[in-house]
Amino acid sequence: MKTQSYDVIVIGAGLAGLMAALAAREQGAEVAVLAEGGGAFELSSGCIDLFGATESPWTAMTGLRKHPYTLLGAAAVREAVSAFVAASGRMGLPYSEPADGRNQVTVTAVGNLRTTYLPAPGAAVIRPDPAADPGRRPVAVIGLQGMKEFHPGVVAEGLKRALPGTPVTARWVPLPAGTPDDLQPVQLARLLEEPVFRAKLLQALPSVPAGTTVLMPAVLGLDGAEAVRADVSAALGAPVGEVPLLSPSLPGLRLATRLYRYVQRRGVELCMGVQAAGAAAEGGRITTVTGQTVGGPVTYRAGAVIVATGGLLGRGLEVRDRTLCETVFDLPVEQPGGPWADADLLSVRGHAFVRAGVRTDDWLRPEGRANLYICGKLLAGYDPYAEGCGGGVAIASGWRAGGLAGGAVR
Amino acid sequence: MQRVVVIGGGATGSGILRDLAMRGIPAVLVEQGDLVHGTSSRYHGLLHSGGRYAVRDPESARECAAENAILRRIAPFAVEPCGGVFLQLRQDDPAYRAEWLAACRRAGVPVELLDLERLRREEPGISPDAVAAYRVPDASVDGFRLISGNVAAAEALGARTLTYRRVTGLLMDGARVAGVRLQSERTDASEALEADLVINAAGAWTGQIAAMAGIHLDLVADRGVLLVYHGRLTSRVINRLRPPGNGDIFVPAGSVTLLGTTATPVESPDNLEIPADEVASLLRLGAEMLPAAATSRVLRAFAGVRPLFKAKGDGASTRDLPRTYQVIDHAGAHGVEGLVSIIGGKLTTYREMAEKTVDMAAGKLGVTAPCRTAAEPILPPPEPALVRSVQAFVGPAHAAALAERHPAHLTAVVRELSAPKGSEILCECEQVTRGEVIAVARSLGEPSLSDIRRRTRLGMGTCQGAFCGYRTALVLAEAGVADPAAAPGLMLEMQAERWHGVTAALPGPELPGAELTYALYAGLFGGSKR
Repeated sequence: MKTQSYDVIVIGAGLAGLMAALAAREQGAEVAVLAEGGGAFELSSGCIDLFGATESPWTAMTGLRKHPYTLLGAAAVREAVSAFVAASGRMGLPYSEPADGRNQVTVTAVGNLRTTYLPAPGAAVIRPDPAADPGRRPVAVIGLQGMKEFHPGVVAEGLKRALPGTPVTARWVPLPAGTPDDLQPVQLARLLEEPVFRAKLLQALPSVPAGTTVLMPAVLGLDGAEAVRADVSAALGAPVGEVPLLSPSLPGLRLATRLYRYVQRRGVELCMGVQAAGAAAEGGRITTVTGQTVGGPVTYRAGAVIVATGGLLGRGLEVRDRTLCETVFDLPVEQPGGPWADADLLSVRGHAFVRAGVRTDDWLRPEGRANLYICGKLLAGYDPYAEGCGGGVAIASGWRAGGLAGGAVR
Repeated sequence: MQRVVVIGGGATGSGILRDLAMRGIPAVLVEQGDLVHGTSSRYHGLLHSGGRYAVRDPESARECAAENAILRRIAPFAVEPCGGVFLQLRQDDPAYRAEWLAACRRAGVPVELLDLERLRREEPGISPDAVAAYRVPDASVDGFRLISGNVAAAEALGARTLTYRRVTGLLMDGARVAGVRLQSERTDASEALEADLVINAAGAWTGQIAAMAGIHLDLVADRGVLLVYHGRLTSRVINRLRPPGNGDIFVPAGSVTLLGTTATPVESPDNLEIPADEVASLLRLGAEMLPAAATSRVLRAFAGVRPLFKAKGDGASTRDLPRTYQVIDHAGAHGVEGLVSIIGGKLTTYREMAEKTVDMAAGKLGVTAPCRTAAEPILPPPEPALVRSVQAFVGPAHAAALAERHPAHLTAVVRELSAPKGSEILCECEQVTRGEVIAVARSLGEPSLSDIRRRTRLGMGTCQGAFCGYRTALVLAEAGVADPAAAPGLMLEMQAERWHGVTAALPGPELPGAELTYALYAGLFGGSKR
């Protein structure tokens, strides 16, 4: 069996795992990321939520109990968010932190408002507070005819309800003649990066009065999104903001693409298509991780291991015999105490099964594990969808786990 | 003016409507929800051979055996003749087999001993504990198709249906029932419908209607919980060869398999709760027959309420109550003229129940025309030319399915399929096209996605409507069938309804799917209702 040696092995290439790899690398560690797939990026709006619908996530997160944020502490969260913002600039997909430290408001594909802390670059951002926008800038929603994933009228009607007094209009723009039928959002985004196709679409776009907020479906390019957005804004005569679609979500895929490339440039080895299948330990310390690859099993020797395999969606957790189990190390999982789910899908309480996960000490280690660190959705104690904190916990716990693991092995 | 008002848009009510129409009696059917919103869509979809009742309830068994044969003939568009098996396991009472065989013979249920080894090759999922198997003519029946077929046939003869109208009271003329008072569930408008006769075919709600005339009926609302599995665990109906109990019927239907049922008496027919212990019991017992049932992905659980009637001296368990039916003329029984109730029974025997009810109604109205519902197909077979034009858009296999799903609206389906993007797929699991959805939606006016789901199977597969419900709501808005402002509410209503069933089946292999739905809809709707 082949054996490879690293200081730190990260299992999982979602946002938490990649931040952990960057942080460990920052400490000078040799780092490899082993991953079966690419995280939940294609389900993500690309926006980084920190906490809640409240105006200041920093104030709200101080009152939590048994939450990953309480393990980490606000200072570590701030440090991690700054690290992510700095890295995003270096990878060419710059996120910016709001100067006042308050949540921003974005728009969903059904015209609802949704708060986030770091909007995805290019995301439509709205100022619902009348004091911030006394003139009530008009909003124009533009759909692309033939796309069944986005309806400008649906978004416009939602915004009219959410922003009373704001003039909102909706219109369709035809896709260029000869566009294939039944295009998927990713294919359309790639087509828009081709100059000829893009020029044809730009011709069909209306020009809008200066000062209008223009919203379009988030299909304006994949890796070359910035250029597509700039051209579209110029044709419209006003900056365009994107509305993320259900899935696959382009803003999430853009972040994934840039992050993969960036971690590799920083010297992290990104081993995709590797399923972590087991481990060996000596005296409470993990010594090796076994990975299944198409080329057969590979042994990875490691000074420290970071588990960023995610929850149920990432298959860090799975159900065996009506019990939630951790899939790689069979770590103890805190089960839901009472009913697994609330009867109401969008219950304000969230759902107990989503809070299930692995409990750790203040250094993100499960009990009795000296060199094993947990980060991201595998952690117990939070419901990212009800609390609006998925991106924040991923970044902060990943960065902290990477820093601890990298520091410990050096 | 209508001479008869029929209350209840389930199997019995729609069968009565067709029977009345065929005898030339003008009638209107009123239904509190969508057609088939009650028990007729909340059951396992089994067209009984009669085998299940042969020992304890021979009268029901005889009725099932006769009606099973009739329905295959008159409703081929609703019946999937997948066949059925009674399976005896090692741990089951061996003596029951002989008793059951004799009872089936007496009741006229055709039974044939199967070669177990061959059955194992054809149904590799059955338990190694199986010791004997018998073939019976079970089938899978689509309650929705059956009922909408009956309604379409009746409407073609001049009958009318009013859905989403709740009966709020009976019009009384002294001690005679003279019609019904209705309230719209959509607009809150109320109206009165006069009639010479009111037929109470409200299924589990029959007692509530009778109470409006001051009549007490001894009915039991018996709730059954069922599980829906992803994919077909079996290609035919699998019954357990022992006295009827929980978790002893698997029925394949479309792209899923149903496992039923439990039996729990409840106070109200609106009690559709799904207790965790009943789900656990189904999983355990189902796995005794098909071991894969313990670990296969359960898409959701749901509950329906059987309307049973309880004669004096019947035992305490609802399993022992007969599945036969009774037609009551309240003139003789309670001194109330103008009201007939049909109670008990089951979907397999709905036609015979309708026949006996309309025989009584016709007698009271002085109509002598005989029942013809068993002799004539409910709907004429689809025109071959029309089916061929469907094939041009969706291929032969799917065209046949469409012809069965929409026997009365096939022309409209063809029209919408031929529109631009009409053959675009909205629901990948069930291969539901945009054209089919739009045709159905237009025929309904302002349908919910659940109304469309019942008619097309949209959203009944793996994603449980999370993706296809979203797309469909947007497409309905684009086609001008739904108001764009209403589209988010449409998708959320479908997910809220599905969530009820999904969460009841937790925790199992469906848990990641539940989290995916939650993640997507919390994202779309701006988080939870905080």
